[in-house]
Amino acid sequence: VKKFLALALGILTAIGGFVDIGDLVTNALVGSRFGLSLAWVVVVGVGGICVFAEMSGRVAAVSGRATFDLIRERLGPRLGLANLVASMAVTLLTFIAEIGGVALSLELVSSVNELLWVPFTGLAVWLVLWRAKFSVLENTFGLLGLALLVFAVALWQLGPDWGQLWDQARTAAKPADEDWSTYAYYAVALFGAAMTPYEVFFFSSGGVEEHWSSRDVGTMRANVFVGFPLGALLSLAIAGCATVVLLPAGVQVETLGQVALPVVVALGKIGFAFALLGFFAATFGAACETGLSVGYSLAQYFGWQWGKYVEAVRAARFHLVILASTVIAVGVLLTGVDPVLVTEFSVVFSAIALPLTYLPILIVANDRDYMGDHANGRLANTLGSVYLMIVVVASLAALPLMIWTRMGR
Amino acid sequence: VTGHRGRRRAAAGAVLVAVCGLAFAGCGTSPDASGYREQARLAVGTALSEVRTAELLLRAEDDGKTLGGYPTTVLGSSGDSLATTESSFSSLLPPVGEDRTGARTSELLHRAGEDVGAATLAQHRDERASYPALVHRLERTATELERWQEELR
Repeated sequence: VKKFLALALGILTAIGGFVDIGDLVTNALVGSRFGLSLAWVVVVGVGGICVFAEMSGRVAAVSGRATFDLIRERLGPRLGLANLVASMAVTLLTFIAEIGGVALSLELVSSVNELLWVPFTGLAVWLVLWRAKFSVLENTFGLLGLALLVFAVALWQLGPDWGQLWDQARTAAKPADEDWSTYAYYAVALFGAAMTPYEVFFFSSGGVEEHWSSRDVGTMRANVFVGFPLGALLSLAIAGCATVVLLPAGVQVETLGQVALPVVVALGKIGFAFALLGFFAATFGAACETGLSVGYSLAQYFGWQWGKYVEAVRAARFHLVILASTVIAVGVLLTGVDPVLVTEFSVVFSAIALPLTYLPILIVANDRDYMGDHANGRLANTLGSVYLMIVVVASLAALPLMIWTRMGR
Repeated sequence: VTGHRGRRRAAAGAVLVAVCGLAFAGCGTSPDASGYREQARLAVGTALSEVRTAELLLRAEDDGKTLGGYPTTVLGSSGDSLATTESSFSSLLPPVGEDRTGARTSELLHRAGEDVGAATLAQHRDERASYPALVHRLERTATELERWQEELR
């Protein structure tokens, strides 16, 4: 029973923790402009994150070491550094976006400007990262993130024409008034949002934090292959709500308030309260994950002691990196930059950085010196290679599309 | 109390547009007729989005479906965004033959700003009796924006 409960908890937190500010904004924005015609990207993206999260989780469980730890050792300092710089830059950008997302959530309920919330949010995130236990942090925000299920309830309550929604998703036909270049740009953005690099760093480092061993590979796989796809359904529900309410009205999502509008229309106050709780939990949880991921990646590359499973004083440099990242994030947000705009940049730059993140994972997961009998099999390698090709195409296309479409305008 | 995200977004967008314009056009000239109409269409699209947001929000508010500072925040953002869009568009000089495009677009942007402003004020003062009339006004403006957007295509 205890094992079953642990499995259920893992799956639930994987579902609740799947959505972050990038998923919230990008899915709502895409739904409001393209309906469900880009739903296939979410499906492809969640497939990719499952493949690589399983690999990095397996590496952590079998070797007892996190991804970055092995990447530098296996690929050398130069390639490791390229991987570090690209991944960390994107993770820091995502961290900024997540803290901004928390501030925006608080602004929605209080109507106090988000800039006033930013310093308090930064302090709260840092305090949680400093004081809270890893499992408490992961489980609390993962479970609270389940409040976003309200989008699925709202979609059902709105009573859409399910056949029409299915047709949009199945035919992947873009709306007549949109360009193919804009369609492709948002496909790449959605893909970047689904495959954000920090997710694999956090997942593999979390495995080390929780002392996974080879015996935990089954549980880890259940979390990934059940929890992540169910989490992706939340993303689709957000896009579905925007498709039903915002697209016919001509509303193009540019603020977090507009993301919540379909839930307000469908379910009123109670629904809105759940949506707000979900926004807060999703962004705060992701802020903690990205903040930790910045610390993990740097500490693992340089070989410093890291992790929340050791006393803070023994991992001083790791905690210092987290503190510095939080100060930087707060500083950037206090310049007045729009957090939603930061989010849009972060998902596109995620797409650009993807090959540098995922190629090393594929290489390490194939190394029998580290992995022994748990090295990639034929299926994992085939899927990994196919996804690597997709990731390279998305990466090469991201910047030209961003410039050509003027960020999808 | 709400933020100025609309303004900041538009400013960031304007910077990006300017950079792209310089990169691709080479010399940063003012827009030609088709460029000007494209700018007008984008501005009208933004205005339509904000007017419809305000309309949906005011309907929800009228039905007692909103909570806390949500309506204030959403209407404030829409108002800010409209103000920035109107100001950005008015800074463009219409090329020869596009005076009507400029005048009609400016008129609609101004009206959209006024309507959302009126909705914001009514919500702030909790003048619920005026909501149905305001919703109707927003709806009418949105319909005109849609028509004009179609003409600009």
